[in-house]
Amino acid sequence: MVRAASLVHDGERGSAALGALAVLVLVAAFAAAAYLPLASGVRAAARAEGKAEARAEALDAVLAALPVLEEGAADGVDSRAELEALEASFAGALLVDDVSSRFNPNLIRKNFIEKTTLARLLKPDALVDALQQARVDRGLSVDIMTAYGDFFEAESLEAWFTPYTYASVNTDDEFALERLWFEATGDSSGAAAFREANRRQLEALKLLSPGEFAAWYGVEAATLAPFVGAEAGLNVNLAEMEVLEAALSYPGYGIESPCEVAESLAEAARSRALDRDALAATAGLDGEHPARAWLGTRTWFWRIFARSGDAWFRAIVRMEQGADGKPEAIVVEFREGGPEDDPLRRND
Amino acid sequence: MRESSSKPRGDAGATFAHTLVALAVLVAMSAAAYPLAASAIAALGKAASAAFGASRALVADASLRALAARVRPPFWAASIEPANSGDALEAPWLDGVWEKTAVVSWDGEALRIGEAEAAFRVGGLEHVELAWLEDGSGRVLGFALAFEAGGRAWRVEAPFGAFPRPNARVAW
Repeated sequence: MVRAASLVHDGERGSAALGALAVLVLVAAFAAAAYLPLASGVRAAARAEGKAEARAEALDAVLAALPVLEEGAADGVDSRAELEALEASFAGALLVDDVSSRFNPNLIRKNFIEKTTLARLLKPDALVDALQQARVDRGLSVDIMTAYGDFFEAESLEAWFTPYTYASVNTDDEFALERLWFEATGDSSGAAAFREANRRQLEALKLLSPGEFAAWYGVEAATLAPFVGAEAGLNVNLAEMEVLEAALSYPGYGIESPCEVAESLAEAARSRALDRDALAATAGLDGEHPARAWLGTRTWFWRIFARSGDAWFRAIVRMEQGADGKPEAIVVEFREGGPEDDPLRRND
Repeated sequence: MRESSSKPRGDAGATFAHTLVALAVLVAMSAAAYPLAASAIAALGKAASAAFGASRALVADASLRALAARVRPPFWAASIEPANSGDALEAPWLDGVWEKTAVVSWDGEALRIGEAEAAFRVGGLEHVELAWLEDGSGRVLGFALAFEAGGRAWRVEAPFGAFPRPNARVAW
């Protein structure tokens, strides 16, 4: 009896253990089924939160740089020293460069390409007439690598050109200006009126100062300021020497040695900030010289790379004069991307 | 068979009694554990539902942000006219091309995020509201989306990759 009873108890213990195991397995399976989506959800949430935080941190850094750019521009000069000081103050987390002191293939005149050192950048079978027509037919584009890849080699586009400039009635193509006017306003009759005013200016061989621009173009000037104006686009303090040489090499300017003038400017800019007077003295070009339509001391578009953790973000900032006459910095692009991914090479 | 029939009757009774006792103990234990198990199961279910809701919300968030970042009007372009707020938002300048359109729409069952022809669908959202993200002066800067998922409210503000110029608009 005792023996039989103990045998039965042993068997019962075995079933209870099995039952307990089965319950445990069921609970574990249920927990695992609940855990997996929880864990992946938590991981995804952490990733998204990390990315959002990195973006916000990078944007904060960019926004913190804007007052420095505004302050630096208040004296009418954006110098190399100011730029280096700005980068140093962010201890490598911010890279800033002038992205507008180059030529804009959306706007540049075809005879300027043909008659300057820019001609050697054209692809062998590329025609400037076709380039001019392509701008009218297809419109202007920020993606210059795609839009002008048929006309220039990629290496030339990334080093010499930029889509980030304001248009100038002194240096840019009349048809491109008309197209820009139309794209910006959707007003074809306004665009035609603007082109007519531009044609009269060209016939009069008149270079306009920023002040004269408003008087010449009237109501059309106010509509698109500062996107279309008469400011010089190349900042001699930050432009590459080769870019300055190309601008000065236009035969109509009558400069005997554009290379020497460009080298003088580039060398002087490395050691000190050039204001308008220093620019005139160094280049030997007074304020009335037609080449001054290109040469200025302000940067109109900045590119900022902001690093946050392992991520890079890229901002484009444009400068304009605020209603109170003080420089104002405005972010026009902000998205993920670092110096290595950018189609336009940095000027170092 | 012979062995079985030769077992003493008391043994069989003891086994039955023990089984009954074991069952009673199991029932008592189950009864005691049930509220705990039920609340644990309910909590796990709630957590799973919240996790699924959160993952749907994150998919909607990531998709909308990725789409908005691809909307890149050139800096000279006029601000987009926010004329079609409601169940669908359409923005030109996808990938910097005026003719390409970014679409965000809600058909009552799913949120569609993408291009006109190829959109990504996100289900399991409720009380969806679409709007334009605007600055103080009415300039359109991106998409805004509010919804409920997993029992909580979410709001996504997805800025464009580039911003049109202020103080001017063209109809879209």
